Amino acid sequence: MSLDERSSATTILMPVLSPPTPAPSPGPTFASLSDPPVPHEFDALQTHQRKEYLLSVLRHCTPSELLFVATTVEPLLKRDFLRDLPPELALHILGFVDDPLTLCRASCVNSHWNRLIADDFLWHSLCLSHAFVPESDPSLPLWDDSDSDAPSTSTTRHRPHRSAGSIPTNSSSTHKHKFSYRAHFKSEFITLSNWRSGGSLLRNHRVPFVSPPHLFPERPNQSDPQSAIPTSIALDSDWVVVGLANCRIHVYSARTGVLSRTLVGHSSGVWAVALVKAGGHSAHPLDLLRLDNIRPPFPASESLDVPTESLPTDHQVSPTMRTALGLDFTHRRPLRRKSLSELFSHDPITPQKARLPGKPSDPSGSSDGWGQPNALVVSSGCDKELRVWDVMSGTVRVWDIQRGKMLRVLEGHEQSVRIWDINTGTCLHILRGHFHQIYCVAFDGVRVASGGIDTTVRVWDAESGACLALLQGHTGLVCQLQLSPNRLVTGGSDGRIITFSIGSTFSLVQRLAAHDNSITGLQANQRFLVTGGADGRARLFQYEDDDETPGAATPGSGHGKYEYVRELSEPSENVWKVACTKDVCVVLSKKAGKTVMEMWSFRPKDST
Amino acid sequence: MVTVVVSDGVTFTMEQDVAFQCGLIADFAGGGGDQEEPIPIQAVNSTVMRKVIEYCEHHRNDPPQPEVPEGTPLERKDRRGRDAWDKQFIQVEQELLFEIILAANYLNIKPLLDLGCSQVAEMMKGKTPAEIQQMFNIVNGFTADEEAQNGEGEEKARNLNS
Repeated sequence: MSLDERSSATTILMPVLSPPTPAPSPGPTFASLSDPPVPHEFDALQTHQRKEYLLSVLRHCTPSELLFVATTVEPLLKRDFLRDLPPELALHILGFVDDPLTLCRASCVNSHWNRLIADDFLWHSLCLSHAFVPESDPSLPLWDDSDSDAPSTSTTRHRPHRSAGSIPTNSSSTHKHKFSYRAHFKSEFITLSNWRSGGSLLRNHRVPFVSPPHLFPERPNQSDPQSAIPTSIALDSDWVVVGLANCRIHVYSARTGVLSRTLVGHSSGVWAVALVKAGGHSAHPLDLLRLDNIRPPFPASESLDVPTESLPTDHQVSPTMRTALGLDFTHRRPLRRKSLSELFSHDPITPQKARLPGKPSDPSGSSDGWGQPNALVVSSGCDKELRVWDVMSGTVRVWDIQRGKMLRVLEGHEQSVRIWDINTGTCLHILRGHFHQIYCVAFDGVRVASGGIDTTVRVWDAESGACLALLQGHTGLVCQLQLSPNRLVTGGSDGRIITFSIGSTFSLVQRLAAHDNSITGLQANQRFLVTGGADGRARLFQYEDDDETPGAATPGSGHGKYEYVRELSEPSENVWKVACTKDVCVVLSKKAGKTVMEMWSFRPKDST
Repeated sequence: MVTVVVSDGVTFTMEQDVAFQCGLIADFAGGGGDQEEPIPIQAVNSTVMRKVIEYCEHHRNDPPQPEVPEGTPLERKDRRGRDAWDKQFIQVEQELLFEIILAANYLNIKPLLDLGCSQVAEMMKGKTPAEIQQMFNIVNGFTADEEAQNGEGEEKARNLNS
């Protein structure tokens, strides 16, 4: 193809000669133009001669003919960029489309555009720009270690480099089976817009009042409203576990909202529940068990004797229990167990958390499994027993910390926080500084945050026990804390949510007047902050990045602010608890004197 | 000084720092001294070359663009280095824009290529399929089967919009 000809094609009514690839778009008017009166002589002319010739023709035209020429020429000067440009340039153009709606519409233009936009690379970069990072959750059965079916080049070429280490296989060839960034984007985007606009209410449960006679012997009738107060909640993508003050634990399916099991066995109110996901990998077994910090909504007056029972050793563990715990899957190191008396010796109101170095458990109270077949529930309560339950069978599996490998347990003990090494049973540090009772503690493996009646929040170094910062801002007692690597979100009885950026420096980022009454629950995930208040509202806030701050590219950089999005639920008398995962949100509230659990799903409708 | 001769025989002479923004010319000249022989650039005509040189002259004093790592969020990629002058500069006829993109690709001028491509993306933004078809003079070449899929796509687009 001569470039002379191509450049001249812009000025004459001739078919545009084909650009490199692919074939040119078939102009609808070409057929009628292919028989001009002087085609051959015209073809023979030089470029400037052609122009002169055309000019001379145009000079002889009437205005209406000129108008005809103008309207005929106009569409010919338009270019189908995506078809006429080489595919790599077309994809480069599409790479600048940052708006999924435009991409979707563009894919409806014609089949060529449709095929181009099906390229997964585009959706991969769109996933990245929207921070829709696919979960590299190794517990999902998506890992395909076989090299037998090679995926299409467009998906392998741009797959992000996986961090080796957590996956004990040949890391270069590991890939997700039939993973499509397009599908992933679609699902994530719909989930996100459901969060903003309101998802579907999966189920609306009324928690029945069941008052065990031995707990409230003075009130043997079955209608003690206090008994149905939810004290704790943990959820993951499969299960929602609610611990109640009436000794029971309710397990709901997070996919359908149906009440799946009621775990009965605790002889006193349940204060803390934790969930261990099914499956997982066995790299570090029982690593990441955490008990959430829970304060019962009523003062616990009884002081039960601490059971000091003999603990089962490995050979005493029954085969079914071994299976449930996945003991046979892992190579374990023997560890010294810790008796319950050590765990709960100080205070029946025991806010506690623990984790090992590694991935911390979710703020929603779930942690990764270690290869056990079913999800496990760990619970503790007034009866000072720690129970581990198998979600599927609902049977009690163990009566204590079966393989107590938790590194540290925190206790908010009056005016000090104690850090325990659970392996040795020794108290590592007593963190003193608060002037009054501590209401909440949080621990991320490195730092400890605590808040209490004296309206201050203190951040401590877990290794040295030194107080790193004294954070002020609340005007009432601090009762909620969530610690993430560079952010600390606190809620107080003044109805405020305060965000602190914690890192090398500590500073107040944002003060939100979130509720008209005490904050009863808060939970932040990557994008959203869910809060519940004693004013009966559950509210949703969205994390907005602070563009001015360099390095604030990803959610969670610590400097972003929360913006109010909407109410999560109808107003109620009191919101007991709120909790959320990436696509499920649970609101436990008091409506018409009854405890009601609402479960909202934000998943796309077509995928369950 | 660097001299180039384009497809329709026009010769352009420019300063080295202007010319060397084109990766192709920089490679040709090999980084050493003045060129006696004009560099032939057959894939670009004089109209487009004039435009390209205008761009290069405006940006001659720009600091070198830092390499954008793979996977940078698109908004951020787009935002950098698109000032008002650039926006005005790229407001051209589709045909010229097309040629500029091809020339920028051929001459290896990354910022100009990005500017052109983002301009096309900008043109598509917020348009319905019919509007895009009209804007780029595209014939609806869908088969009945694909048309059905289109319906799905539209629905999906509506979903996304809501």
